[in-house]
Amino acid sequence: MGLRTLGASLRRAFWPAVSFVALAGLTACAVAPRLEALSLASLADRPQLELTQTPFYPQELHQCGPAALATVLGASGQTVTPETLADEVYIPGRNGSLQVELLAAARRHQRVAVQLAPKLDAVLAPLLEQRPVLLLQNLGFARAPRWHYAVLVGWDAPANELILRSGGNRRERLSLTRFVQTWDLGGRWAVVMADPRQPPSP
Amino acid sequence: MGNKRSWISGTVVAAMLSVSSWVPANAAMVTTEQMVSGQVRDARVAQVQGFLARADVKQQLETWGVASELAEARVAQLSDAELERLAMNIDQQPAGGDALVVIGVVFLVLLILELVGVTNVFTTI
Repeated sequence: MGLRTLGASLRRAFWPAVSFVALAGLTACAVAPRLEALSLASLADRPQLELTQTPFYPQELHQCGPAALATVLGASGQTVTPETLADEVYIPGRNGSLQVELLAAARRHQRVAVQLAPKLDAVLAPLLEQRPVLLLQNLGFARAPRWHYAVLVGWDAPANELILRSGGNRRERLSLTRFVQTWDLGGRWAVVMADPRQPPSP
Repeated sequence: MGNKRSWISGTVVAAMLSVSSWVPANAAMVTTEQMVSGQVRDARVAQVQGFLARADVKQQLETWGVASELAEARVAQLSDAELERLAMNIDQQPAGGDALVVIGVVFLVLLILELVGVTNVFTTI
């Protein structure tokens, strides 16, 4: 008796369960981006790329803004220490740095911060010109944000990972899914440093 | 009667002619003096707004612990558009800087789970 009712309820639950699993599979496909699926043509030629010459400044507590800015300024040929930049962008009362002030500090050091289109291939493309990308991540939640600046220095298409200088980590390998999540929550903000005499190609 | 009618129509024609000759003259007046004075006024208003935004942002930076002379120099680097955007919503703008704290929280949670015996991530502990 008991077994028979169990069997009946299992049969009743079979199709809903199948459709649930199928739906979950579909949504997983939709949210898990692949580097190979991007339209950036050079990804096929260069499945792995890393700007190993990019300087690394391990971040002091809360000071990822100055550290990340020093990283991209250094890569563009302007060597400035994070300590100098902290006086120009760090806000003690906010435990962080504002985007606008990063742009202003770049100008102060003879570089133009060019904002990139909020698309994944637009953020990867500058790496081909040896330009690392400064970007804003939200490592927390939309309601309880944890803002963080990091510098994108490479990709690894077979592993579907991106490589960043981030905080105290010289080579942070971040899955593309996790990167897109944190970058989306951060408002898809990304800039590259350009010498005014050599602007980046559009 | 016919005389009166022609008098009325003559007045109307004269009035319409005078109006039509008045309009372009009036337009010429607007394009010269009023426009210039309007532009000067707009520029002055923008100047005052820029000044107020500058003072607002500088004061907010100082409240957040930035030294006064540094705040002065930092505000001087910002363009008018950037200043106005900041003056409007400086508290809501993201201030990046917290990676270490997040890593710390995640690590603490893992450590507590490990010590309580739920997980076995750190086999050496």
